[in-house]
This record gives sequence, C-alpha cells and structure tokens, in this order.
Amino acid sequence: MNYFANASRACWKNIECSILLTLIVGGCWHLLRQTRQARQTPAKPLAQEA
Amino acid sequence: MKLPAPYPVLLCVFWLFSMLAIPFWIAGDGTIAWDYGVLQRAMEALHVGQDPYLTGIAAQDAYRQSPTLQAQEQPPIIYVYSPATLPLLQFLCALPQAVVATIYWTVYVLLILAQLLVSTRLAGPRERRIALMLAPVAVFFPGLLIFDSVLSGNVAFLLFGLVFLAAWWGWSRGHWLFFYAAVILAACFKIPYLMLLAIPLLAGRKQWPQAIATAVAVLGAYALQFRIWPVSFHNYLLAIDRIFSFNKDFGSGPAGRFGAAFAALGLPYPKPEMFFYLATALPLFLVLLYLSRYYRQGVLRREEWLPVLLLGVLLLNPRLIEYEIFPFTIAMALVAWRLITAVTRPRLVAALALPLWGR
Repeated sequence: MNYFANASRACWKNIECSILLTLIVGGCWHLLRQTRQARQTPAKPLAQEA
Repeated sequence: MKLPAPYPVLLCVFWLFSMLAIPFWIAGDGTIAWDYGVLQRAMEALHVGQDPYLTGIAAQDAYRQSPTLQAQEQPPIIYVYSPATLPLLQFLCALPQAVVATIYWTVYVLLILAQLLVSTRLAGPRERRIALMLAPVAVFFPGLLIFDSVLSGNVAFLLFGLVFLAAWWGWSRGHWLFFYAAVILAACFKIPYLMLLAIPLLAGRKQWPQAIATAVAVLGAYALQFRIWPVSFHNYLLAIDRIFSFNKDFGSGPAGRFGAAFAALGLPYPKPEMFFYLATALPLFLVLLYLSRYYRQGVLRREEWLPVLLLGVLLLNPRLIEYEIFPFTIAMALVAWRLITAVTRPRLVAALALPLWGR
C-alpha cells in the first residue's frame, strides 16, 4: 500500500528529492567548512608541543 | 542480584519490537511482494517458452484497453532486467517455486540486515550506540519518509546488500575486488548501478584503473548481449521504455523530477532529462572528488566522509526509486543530524524541520 496514495505520488517524490538535495548540499558545505578550518589552523610550534 | 546494563537491554527491546511490528505491518498493508511477483511472472513466462518482456508489455496493453482493470488495479509492472539475467531465471524455473521463494526471502531478509548493520558503521564513536539502536526504524522510513518499499521484494535489496557488504570490506580493509564483482552483478540487473563505482574512486586509493575496467566490462557485456540475444535485447529496450511511457516512473532524483515535469507538460523529456542529469551529476562528482582528497590526507575522518560520499553517490543515480534510497537511509539520518548540530541554532532548525518532514 502506498501511504501517499491519497496525496500525489509525484508530490512524495518531489519531497524526497528536496530532502536529498538539502542533505547533499548541507553535507558538502559542512565538510568544506571543516576542511577550510583545518587548513586555517596554524601548526603548533614544536616548543609549545613539547 | 545485579541488573543488566540499560543500553544492551534497550537495544534488544527496540530491535525486538521493530521486528514484531513487521508482521502487523504486513497484515495491515494488504499488498506485499509486488516486485517479487514481477520475477515470478517472468519465470512463469520463461517456463512456457515465452518472452518475459513481451508478456509484460502485452499485460500493460491489456490494462490500457480495459477501464475495469484500471479502476481495480495499479498499472502492471514488468520485467526490465537485461537478457543476461534470463539464464538465472531459467535455472530458478527448474526448482520448486516454494524452494525458490524460501531461499529468496531468507537471503532478502539477511541482506537487508546486512545493509542496516553496515550503515551503522558509518556513525562516529559518539553516534554509534544510538545509530545501532535506531537502525531498524529505517525499514519503516526509507529515505526518511514513510514508505513500504521494503515489502516489495525488489531484487535491488539483494544487490545493495551485497554491494554494501563488499563496500564495507573495501573501505575497512582496502580490498575492492568483491565490490567490483558485486557491481558487475548489480549492473547486469540495472545498468545505472554502475554509478556505484564512484564509491571506491572516492573512498579508496588508486582505484581508477579497476573502476574503468569494471565499467568497460559491464558495457562490453551489454554490447555482447545485443549480439547474442538480439530479439530479447530489443524487447528488453521496449520494456525499459515502458517504465517511463507507461508507468511514468521517473524516480525521485533531480533529473527524474525534471524529466517528469517535462512529461507532465507533454514535452519530449529524454534529451532534456539527460542534459539536466549531466549538468547536475558532473559538478556533484567534482565536489566529491575534491573532498575525497581531504579524506585521503586524513583531514576528514572516515565516519565524517562516508555518509556524505554515499549520499552523493546515491544522487549520481539517474533514476532514484524508493528501494534504491532505502540502503542510504541511515547515512541520510547521520548527515541530517550532523547538520542540525552544526548550525548555530540547532533547536530552532530541528523544530522547523521535524514538522515539515513529518507531514
């Protein structure tokens, strides 16, 4: 049984597509931000590490 | 007497209740195993020496001409796997159907479990316990929406089970041979599954030659089928066309929705859909390729990278159907959770997102 039989099946697919696009754009943005932060973090001086 | 730790008890209770809910779900659902029915009808056609593609097309034509059938039933779905799969069906025809059904459904359940368990390995150390506990919920909410695709018996659940197990072997041990074998098998059923080759390219090291060789082998196998079984191959292409022209099933992918919009307007859709697919899939793959460099350099951890990678690979599939989204549900949930916790006002975002998704 399609739970979305009363609504439009196409409408359900549009919602799924929107979720997927939101997640991939958000997921990539999140990772790009992380990589940028990692690049900007200055390497610790050896003396400080010791 | 020492009481057992709460987490293992909760875990067992949650899994147990989820499993117990499935028979009630099946009982309430009415129609189940509709895609397994397609396989059965194809086996029956082969058993009496008919072409399963033409038998299906004839059933669709009969449906189109009968207003009674249209009022009572859903449009028939037909066998759309390549002629290379027919010898396997012929072999299964020779066995008692009860044996075939028992083996099929047992393997089906095991490979769905495998998909769920492999997906929980995508979670980070702090997320793993909750991911393992909530994993069975994915069965009821594939793609984070409520749907019953898991009851369909579609062969995709078997194929993705094998692919996920092999991918797990690949990214944890660095051996991708099983993965390429699984992709060759999957692509024999559904050629868009070649997009899964992006997984070793983006999660492995120096996998380009192997991935290209696999793609060439699959495309060569299709060319060979055209030479060996020209009539069956022609009928197979006719059956493929019916997915769009008769069932109007363009899937949930961006290109599919684009094509569906063109079809709804009565415009020719194959070429615009293809261009739209290339225009979206290519940049997506390049972004993933760029990010994969940071994964290999160790900037991104495996549990950070793999859910996004899998989501991206899913979107590289030109035609996304519900049963193809199911294996990626936990990856989707992890990405969604991380996004909610990454934004500055997570509670507000969750409050806005949950009612919207719950609709």
